[in-house]
Amino acid sequence: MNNTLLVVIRSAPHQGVRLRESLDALLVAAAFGKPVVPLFMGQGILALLPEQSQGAPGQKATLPIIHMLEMYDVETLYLPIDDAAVRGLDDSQLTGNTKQLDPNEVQALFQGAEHILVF
Amino acid sequence: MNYALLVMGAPYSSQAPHSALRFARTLLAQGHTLESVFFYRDGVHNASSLMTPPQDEANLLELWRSLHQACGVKLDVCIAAALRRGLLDKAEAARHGQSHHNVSPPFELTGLGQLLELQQRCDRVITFAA
Amino acid sequence: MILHVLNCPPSSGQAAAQALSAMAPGDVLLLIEDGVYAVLDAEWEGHRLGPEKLYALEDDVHARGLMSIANAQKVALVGMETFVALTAQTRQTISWY
Repeated sequence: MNNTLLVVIRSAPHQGVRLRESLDALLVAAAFGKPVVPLFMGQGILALLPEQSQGAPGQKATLPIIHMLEMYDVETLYLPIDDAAVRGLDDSQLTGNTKQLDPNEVQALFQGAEHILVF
Repeated sequence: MNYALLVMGAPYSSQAPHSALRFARTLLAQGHTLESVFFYRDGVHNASSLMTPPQDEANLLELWRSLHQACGVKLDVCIAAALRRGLLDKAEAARHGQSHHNVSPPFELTGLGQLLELQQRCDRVITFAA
Repeated sequence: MILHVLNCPPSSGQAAAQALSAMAPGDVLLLIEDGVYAVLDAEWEGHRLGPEKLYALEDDVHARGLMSIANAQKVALVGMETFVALTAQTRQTISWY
């Protein structure tokens, strides 16, 4: 966990540019060559639904950015197990290499990160 | 300690800029240093040089300017977030064929990479958001 | 030790619950801005932290007319000086909004 940047994504797609601007920060951090750990928390989990598309007039899709993460060596997408369960979602319904964390693992992620950005 | 602040709340629609300014003044009074305030998301609206609140309300633009004058803090504005919200400096206005600009020094448009660099360099980065 | 800063009330949105879920046993929580409305909800889980780990920014409490209510709760009222000091003392500060 040394020198990792934990980026917490909490916005669902198409709430203005909230999710896009969160993911932009994630991408820039990853492009810096820093180990970046993304945690999709709360509504942020909805960014990982594989069938989403572009939004109402002119809202660009954010799913392509999620798909780009792997190219930047961001391989595992973390999410709190409770946040997925409350939305009735499991790994098979989400895109990317997701890993569900129990409450203790979520706390450990925060404790272990060198830097944290919460969006 | 060396601080940076990340401001992601718009003036007059969130308390974030007010809290950030109070925090900044207090940390300076305690002998810490403030390297930069980085404005992102709706926080970029803090940089509008056309901000004209009623006279009996705090003028946030003037408060940011006086903070800069007091301690030389950099006022960094994310360029991508600013441009999409209609906040352009002279160079960006010219580049995009706009006849006006509304961002001027001490505010500076800069990339998101600056935020990551601040995080590497500063002892503390404190977020004020909405 | 992490300082968590919460600026919205438990009754609106996901931030308050997320802050508590991210907190490890040694962490502390500071209520600022609309976060101070948490003093109105005596049943809120965050009150279990007690005044050693739960703070509220006095200026924001005062501005919202909550001083007498806050004084009756198990929350420590602190000034901006303490807010800054807490950010210096803790390893990391996380803002929940």
